[in-house]
Amino acid sequence: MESLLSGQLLFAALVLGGLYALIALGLNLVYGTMRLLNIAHGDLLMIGGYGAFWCFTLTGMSPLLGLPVIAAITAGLGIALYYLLFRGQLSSGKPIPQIEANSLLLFFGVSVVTQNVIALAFSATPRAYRYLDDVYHFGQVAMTGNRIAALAIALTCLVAIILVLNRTMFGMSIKALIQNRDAARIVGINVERVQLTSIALGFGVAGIAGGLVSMAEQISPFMGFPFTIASFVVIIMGGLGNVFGGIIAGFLLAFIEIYAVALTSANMRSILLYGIFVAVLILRPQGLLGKARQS
Amino acid sequence: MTPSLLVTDLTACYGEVQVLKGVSLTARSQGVTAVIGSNGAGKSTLMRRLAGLLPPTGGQITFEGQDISTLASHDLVARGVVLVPEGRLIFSDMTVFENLTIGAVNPRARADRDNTLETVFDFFPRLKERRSQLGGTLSGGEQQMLALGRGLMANPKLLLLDEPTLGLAPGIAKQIFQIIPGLVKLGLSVILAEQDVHKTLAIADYVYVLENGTIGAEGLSADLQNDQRIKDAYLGA
Repeated sequence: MESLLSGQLLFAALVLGGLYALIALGLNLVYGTMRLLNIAHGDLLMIGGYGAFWCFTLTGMSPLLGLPVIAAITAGLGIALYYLLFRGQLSSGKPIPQIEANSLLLFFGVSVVTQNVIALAFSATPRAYRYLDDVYHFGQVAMTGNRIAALAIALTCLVAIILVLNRTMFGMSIKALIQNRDAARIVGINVERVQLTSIALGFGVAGIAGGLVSMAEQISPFMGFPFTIASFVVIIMGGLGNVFGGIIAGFLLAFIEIYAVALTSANMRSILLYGIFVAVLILRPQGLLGKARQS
Repeated sequence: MTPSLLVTDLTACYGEVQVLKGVSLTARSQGVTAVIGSNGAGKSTLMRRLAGLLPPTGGQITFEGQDISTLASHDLVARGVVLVPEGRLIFSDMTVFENLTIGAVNPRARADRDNTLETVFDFFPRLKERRSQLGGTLSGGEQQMLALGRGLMANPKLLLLDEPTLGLAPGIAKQIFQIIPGLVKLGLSVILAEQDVHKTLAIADYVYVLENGTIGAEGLSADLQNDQRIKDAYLGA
């Protein structure tokens, strides 16, 4: 019981929450603006992880300095997929349920291809590197440098994106498109440009999150799927397309996960994650934090 | 009178269904051009097509002498062709102020945003009182004012008003009709699609009657008011 009240779990939950919030934010932007269900979202993390790994092992450069390049790579992938696969779908005037279903299948294909290309290129063996793993003590709480850095960068990205969404005309255009596509076109928002930026931003942020994860955990070509599931749990809990709800839900899921695992065992982690997913879908499919947008 | 918008033989489809079957009309510059017709005649389709919300299938639209037939909606707004849609379509999870701000998203309107906001608040003092309230919490009439205000924020030259009084209490509908001539005085051209033929004829300069996707009749308001066929069909003599 005493360990539950210690700062150690609190710190772990904050780090995981920051990552979940960041990952889910990217998924939410892509779903909210275009109704694309990106089942390959976790694989972007994996790509980001490999990017950071190679950046560090080949050049000896800090993976933190490599993050902008990693973000550019995953964002570029998003832009390429937008033009190759989704632009036609979105401008075809197909009904939304059909676009959602098609995007799920297309992204499933993207996911399988990505995982296998990475496995072919770098083998399926898990990899890891040591960076900023010195332990710092704050009172009773021990923190590694890389986790502190991950939390700090995740929070910085979250705050920056929230500021853009709330304070700039472009951010308001994103929110407007999420809320009501027809109305967004009517007021004169360049929908195409907002969509392209949203997918680049969502994918880029996922790449950054992957780089952060790789500093503290092993990477492998198949590491992405649990993150995909976690981010879907988060955006459903927060209300699909509800960007701020998703951020709160990211921290909420991390707290549930960390404390429940502490009460039981690490083996329960997957069961817990999928269990929450199913429970939320059954009990409150509209999200814990209210509706996201008008129909 | 010089034309603001010139529409020639315009068609429009929803999926496989052809709704507009060759509509030609001229919108007067700094005047109110009305399109009347019963439910399902194609008024909203016409307005949505003019605003660039439906894919072009045929016909030509000329605005201020330039062909705009195939422009996307945001390009049309940037040129000054702005729709205030049927059903209002305001952003219900944004405040009144945010709704108005996003109305000025096009580059031409952005520079003059603060001045336009004052004008909109002069027209609709109620919006000023409710500026921090969420759009979805407004009454129907206030939402219509917000939709109109948002349209004005885009700094339009031609305003497309689609059934602006649909579902509103008579008192508020009257208020909306009173505002339209004021917009023309500001220098705007207006195309008004309406079912309320009495009130429309009272403020419009020229009227087109849309029937099954084609123009069935047209004329100056004053002439149509005395037209026996119009009286029988729409005025319930």
